[in-house]
Amino acid sequence: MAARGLHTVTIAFPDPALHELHSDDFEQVSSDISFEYDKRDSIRTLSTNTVSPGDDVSGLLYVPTLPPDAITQCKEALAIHVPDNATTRNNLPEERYELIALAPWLSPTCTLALLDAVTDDPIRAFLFYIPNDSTVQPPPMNDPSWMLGENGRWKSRYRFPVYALPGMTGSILMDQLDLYSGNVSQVPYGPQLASTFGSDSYVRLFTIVDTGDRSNLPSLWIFLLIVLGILIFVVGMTSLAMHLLQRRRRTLLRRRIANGQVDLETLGVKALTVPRELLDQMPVYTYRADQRASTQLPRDPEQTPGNNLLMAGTIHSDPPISSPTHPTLAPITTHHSVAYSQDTCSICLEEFQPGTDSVRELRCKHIYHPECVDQALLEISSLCPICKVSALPLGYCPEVITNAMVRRERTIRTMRERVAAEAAQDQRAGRGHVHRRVSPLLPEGLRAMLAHERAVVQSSPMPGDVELGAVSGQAIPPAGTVPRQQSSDGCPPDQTLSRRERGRQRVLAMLGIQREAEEEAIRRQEEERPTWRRVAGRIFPALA
Amino acid sequence: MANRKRIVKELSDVTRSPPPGTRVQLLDESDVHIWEVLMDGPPESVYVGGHFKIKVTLPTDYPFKPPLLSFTTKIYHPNVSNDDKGSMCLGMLRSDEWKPANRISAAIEMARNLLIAPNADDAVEVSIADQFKNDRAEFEKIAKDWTKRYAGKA
Ligand SMILES: [Zn+2]
Ligand SMILES: [Zn+2]
Repeated sequence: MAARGLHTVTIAFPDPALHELHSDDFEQVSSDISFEYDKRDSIRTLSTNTVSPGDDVSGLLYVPTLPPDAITQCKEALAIHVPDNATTRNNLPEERYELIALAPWLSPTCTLALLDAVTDDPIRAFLFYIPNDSTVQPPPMNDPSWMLGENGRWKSRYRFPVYALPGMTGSILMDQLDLYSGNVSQVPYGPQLASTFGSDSYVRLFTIVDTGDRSNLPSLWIFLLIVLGILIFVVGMTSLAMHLLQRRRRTLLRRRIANGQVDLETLGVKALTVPRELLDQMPVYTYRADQRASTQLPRDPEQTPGNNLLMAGTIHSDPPISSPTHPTLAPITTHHSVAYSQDTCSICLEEFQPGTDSVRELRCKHIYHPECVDQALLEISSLCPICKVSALPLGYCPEVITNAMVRRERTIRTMRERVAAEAAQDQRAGRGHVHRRVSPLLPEGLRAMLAHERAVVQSSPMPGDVELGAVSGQAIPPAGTVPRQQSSDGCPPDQTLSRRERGRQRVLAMLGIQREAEEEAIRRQEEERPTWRRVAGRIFPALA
Repeated sequence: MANRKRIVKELSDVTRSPPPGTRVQLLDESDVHIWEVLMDGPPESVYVGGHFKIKVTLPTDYPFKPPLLSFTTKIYHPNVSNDDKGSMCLGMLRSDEWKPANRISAAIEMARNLLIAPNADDAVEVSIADQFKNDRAEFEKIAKDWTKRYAGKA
């Protein structure tokens, strides 16, 4: 930063060799009885090394001394301009006080020799003046007169700033240095100062270079920092808001799972397995085919209409092993009505041996050998291998609901709603064709699924507008709830179900067929997300 | 696991009464998970006279996951990928339609039925499917030609 002015005063301080010095021992001598000089606007900055605006550049003013081995011509040239008694290092205390050097600008060789001479001194700045009587500002920084024969490269060599003063200013200061170099009694107003400050005090010139006002204009860096700060704040707040939103969504999803509105696995959101302790609570009993002929009807056929039509076997159970803490698991009674004709385990393809084989019954009433199905339920999937209904209790919720699960569930729900809405529109318009109006925005798989699903909708004989309007208008229960309704009482699709309900179930069941493909596509999408998107997803979880 | 017992049972059933026009054996006696099916081109199909080798790979979690069928003999067919895999994946062979109650013999029979009646609406080779639908004569010519060229010897 360019120097804007120069202020030189006289100060007095005790001899540090004799006293222990404190910072307030340095006292400015009143300008009435000492030298004070202020120079504004005609200082030229030659190099600003290490100095920023507002920095304190000040120190005791002195004239550097050329080393004994310096070129004689330089010594002589310096002697011409420097009075014999001008303050040098020798006239200052041994202590390393901060210094400001003053010297005439001589030939390149001699000037460089002067610059080299001060490198060991604790100097804060070097003031040069071209020895003439000029009072105007010295030539600008890049003027050839400052080049010192090496294209101005000297400027970067020294770690202190260098300023140029008008010739007149330089010689005024030089003359004053000549006056303020000896002991107190020898300086102007010496006796008076000696009585004030003590006869062993130093009275010297002190120069302050005005480097400008720090707070005058915030630099570009400060501005950038402010912008950056605001940006980080905004990002942080957005991130926080999104995390809160996402947490709310997770809570809502958890609640919907607990209410049985959402089945993560049937939806294809998450592959679930059955935890060991829940598996142990699922009924196991001995297969009794001898009961098959003497089918025992349920006490109240009204509750399970149609049950008797497909009733194929009734099975004795072992002593109850279910836990009352899981009311959704069918409580075990002495007799089990099996709605499906099941005499073979469809995993090992062996027939159940009456009286000897034990069977595991899932929630959907499908039975298997425990040794066949248990491993699969524990490790592969919680879905029944035959009907794909979850074997987990209704409302079972995994420990951790992740953002990815929330995202998938939302995506799938949106897809389903869109499909159902389109189907409803077509139906309402009374269009008969299957392949029309498939939005080009839909992915290929979804389009196929849409066509498939429309075919089903339109082949059903019901008047579609009311039913499907209802489907698209309300929150759509996931496909998983459909087969569950059919099978939880061990019955085939209920004949008394309203036609609307059946139509809706058929639509949703068809959608469910695409489950794995959907799940696969979404998972692949998830995996293919580039790193930056994953990072962005961490910060802004509601995105994507 | 029960899985091996079941595979052995299926294998013995299918060797005892294989689907018509097929012979089933293990590719390597020590590995029940890889079967080799030798299938004669069905007489009512364009592949008549050909002898096709199909590799059936059973995944480790069979029967919970479907078997993988791949034609090791090159065949011109809309439902068989025209690459070095020669894989066939439709209907019950898709993982979302596969049920553990399905048998491998049923999958082999399905493959054989597809030789008789290709399913152009669910094709892997779209161009062959188009040809099958729109230029049947040319399709049959190429299919017969390939059969003679690649599936000639038993
Ligand atoms: Zn079994
Ligand atoms: Zn089931």
